[in-house]
Amino acid sequence: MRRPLELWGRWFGNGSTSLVAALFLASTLACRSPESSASLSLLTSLPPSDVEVLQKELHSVTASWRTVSVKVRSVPARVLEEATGAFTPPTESNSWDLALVPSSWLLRLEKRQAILEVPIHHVQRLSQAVSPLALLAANAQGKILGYPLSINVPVLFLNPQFFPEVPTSLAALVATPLPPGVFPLGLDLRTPSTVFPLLEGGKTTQGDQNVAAGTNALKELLAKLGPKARLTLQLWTVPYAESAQAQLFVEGKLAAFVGGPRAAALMETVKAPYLVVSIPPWCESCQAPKPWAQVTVVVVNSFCPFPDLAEKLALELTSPDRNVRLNLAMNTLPVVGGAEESEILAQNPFLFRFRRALDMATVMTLDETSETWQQWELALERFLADQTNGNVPKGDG
Amino acid sequence: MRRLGSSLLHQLTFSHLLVALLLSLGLGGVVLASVWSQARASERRLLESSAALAGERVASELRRLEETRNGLARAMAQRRVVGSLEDILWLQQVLSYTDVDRIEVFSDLSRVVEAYAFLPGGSPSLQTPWFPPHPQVAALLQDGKPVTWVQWPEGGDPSVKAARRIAATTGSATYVVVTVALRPSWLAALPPGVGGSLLVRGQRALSWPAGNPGSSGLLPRLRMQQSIVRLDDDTPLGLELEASGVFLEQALGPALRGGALLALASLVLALLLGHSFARRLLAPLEDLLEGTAAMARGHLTVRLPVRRQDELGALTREFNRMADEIRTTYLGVISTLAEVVEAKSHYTREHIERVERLAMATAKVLEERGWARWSSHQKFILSVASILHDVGKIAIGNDILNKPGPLSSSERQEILSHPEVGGNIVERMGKLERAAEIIRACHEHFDGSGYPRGLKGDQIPLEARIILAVDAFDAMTQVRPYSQARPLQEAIAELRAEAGKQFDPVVVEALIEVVQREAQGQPLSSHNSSGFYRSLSEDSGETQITGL
Repeated sequence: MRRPLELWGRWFGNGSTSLVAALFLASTLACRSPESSASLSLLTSLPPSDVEVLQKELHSVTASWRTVSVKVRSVPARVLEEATGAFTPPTESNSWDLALVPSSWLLRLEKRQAILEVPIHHVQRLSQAVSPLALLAANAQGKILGYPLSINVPVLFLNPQFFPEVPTSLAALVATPLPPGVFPLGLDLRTPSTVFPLLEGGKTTQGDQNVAAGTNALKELLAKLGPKARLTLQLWTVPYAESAQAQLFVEGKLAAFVGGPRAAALMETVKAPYLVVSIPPWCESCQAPKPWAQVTVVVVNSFCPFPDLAEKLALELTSPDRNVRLNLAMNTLPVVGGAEESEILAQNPFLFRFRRALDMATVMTLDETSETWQQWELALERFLADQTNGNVPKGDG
Repeated sequence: MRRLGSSLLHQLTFSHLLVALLLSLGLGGVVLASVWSQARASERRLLESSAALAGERVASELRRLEETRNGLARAMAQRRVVGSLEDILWLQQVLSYTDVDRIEVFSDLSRVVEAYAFLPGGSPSLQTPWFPPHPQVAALLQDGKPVTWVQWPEGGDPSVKAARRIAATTGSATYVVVTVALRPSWLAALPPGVGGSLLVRGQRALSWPAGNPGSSGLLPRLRMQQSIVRLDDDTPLGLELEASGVFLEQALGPALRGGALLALASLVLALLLGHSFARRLLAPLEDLLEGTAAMARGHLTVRLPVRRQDELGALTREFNRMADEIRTTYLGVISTLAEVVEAKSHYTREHIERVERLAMATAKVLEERGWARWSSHQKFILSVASILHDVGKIAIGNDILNKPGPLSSSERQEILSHPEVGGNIVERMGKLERAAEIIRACHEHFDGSGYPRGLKGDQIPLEARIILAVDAFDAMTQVRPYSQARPLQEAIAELRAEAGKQFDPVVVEALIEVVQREAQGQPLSSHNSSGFYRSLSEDSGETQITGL
């Protein structure tokens, strides 16, 4: 070995060492193996327009990673629930690495060991990036199980032309005189985030059961509506009621309805006058309900082959700029807090009205499989059956 | 000298590297061009298949829109639509079942009722401001035909609308118009690595990103356009697709890596071989440089080996010829001087020949016995010194030089000065300083009793000690004007008697070996010991430059 080295040194001198090192380094770089690529699938039940927004945002995240591709798949909510809650490992048809789910599903998914807990170093970043309410929503049994993405909080939209003063209760609202052809109130009785605050507000005493009190209050409201009761009930139970109510509100055919930021975005687009207040109690003597905030979170499948990448991707969606851009495009409330949130609210006055409701909101942890909701659905079906059979309570007018 | 050699060596090596690099680049360029061409062809095929997929998807969306329109028209034929709340809720239910964004019902030219979802369906730009929008559409509707057209208001969202006349249940003509906003998801069929836009009247109405990992975006992207369908209002729908270049990069990556590896190997090989070739090529030049420098130092016996038969070999031969001519000229001068000395005394000519021959032979014996070692140049100097050791006698008058009787004091003094005079003469010839030094000491005795400076032992150059002993031996064995020739054994005995006194004992023994060999008929055959003086006119033969 010494002889070749001596020969080499004699031929090329001391400078050869750096030359050899450079050649070796260059050959090493030239021969390095190409990086492998990973493909992730995100499952959601968002509407197509929101899917496109989300897909674009994910593309912008992974563009700099170069080895990761993400595809967003939109499925009906029921399919999403079945896919995420499955006990068996994912197959090709229902596979998912990440999913957008209501925070109220987290506990159930955790019990089925379907999702991964957020790593502690991500929790630290989340606690700095997102609002406490959003982080609370992602918490189940002391574990952070998802990355908060957006918040939806139902409020009461009022047409200021019909309500010079803000009604103090829903009963007072429906009693307000309105022009012919204008319906006083829109509700979505098939959506938990709308119904739960109403159920809470329907209680007159601590002893009242939620569902029973809500059903009674509903009967009273319909009784006050009189001849309009049948159509109003149809309005309250139509699929995607919030969409229909928002259109009627814009066209001046509906005086008030319960909706979220998406409805507000529509009002802003079509430049319809509106006022946003917290949902009042059913009656004057009823207790004021708390607004219920529904937080959408990103969860990572426990069978995901690239958990680190999936978690990193989910965390990226909570970065202030990205989260704001994404939520503004989807017409939902961002989860970021602090200065970023203030800036967003300053730029988007209509969201500021939701901020007041959000200040008092509590996280909705009850989901559609809860006993309370099942009881309410049963009571509502009975009520609708009674209405069909002509047992709708007679109103005063 | 080394710097010049190193510089040429580096330049030649660098030229080899440069040629190897250029060859590698050229070869790599050809390979890359081939890979590029094949990858581009693959991308073109991918774009063509993607265009077919995306075109089918767009056509499918249009068919779904038209099926929704037709189904709605059939359903509404059984329903009297008057724009009531129930109509709106019914249309909202229809909206929830379908993918359309807006449903409008017109009676003649007036909108009776409409239903729309949240954005983008709620966008005012999706509303049909005029119905029918074009005379062409109106004519088709008038004929009872279904129509599909594009609405794209300035600053608004593009959408596709489909209308159909509802089977008349009343006197007035009623039409249903369904609208769907142009969504990027229409291009979701595009595979990863292909992005594109839907063109409406040549304008980009929506875009779908390539959404692929691994593309650096550095390479130019391949694009293609393809028309899909022409709607009833003569609006052409088309596709503009773009390959992200990821497949090109994936194809070029291994080629680039392989090419880089090959280029590196070529460069290393070129470095090694180029350096070796350059050294071989420059070897004659280095010989010439060293030979020229030796000539400049007075090494007149330099002769370079002719290693090549090319221009460098010719240059080496010309150098040798030039060195021979210089040496011949030099020796001619020496010869002339020697002949001048010969001319002053008739017996001195043979004496000079014998002294030179014996001196060279003695030096050879000393070399053989390991007492000394001379280079060819040093032997040349010894030869010159032995030839010209009595050149100082030129300055001595012939009357003194050939005087048969005893010399007077002044005459003796003149004789004693001849070594110094001889040294001065030789020194002025240039490049023979060593020979001059030897000549000055040719009459110094080993014990310090000699002249002109009284040097002794090692202070006296070995060559001078040899010449002194040889000169004395020749004087004893040859007839002189003032003495008779003595027998060999007597001369040897005399030499031994004077060893350590007048002569160096080692030199004496070497000289005795020489003369004894000659007496036995075994003279030393070395060229250098055979008498340089006699061969002045002959070619002295090649002499390696090594050991100068």
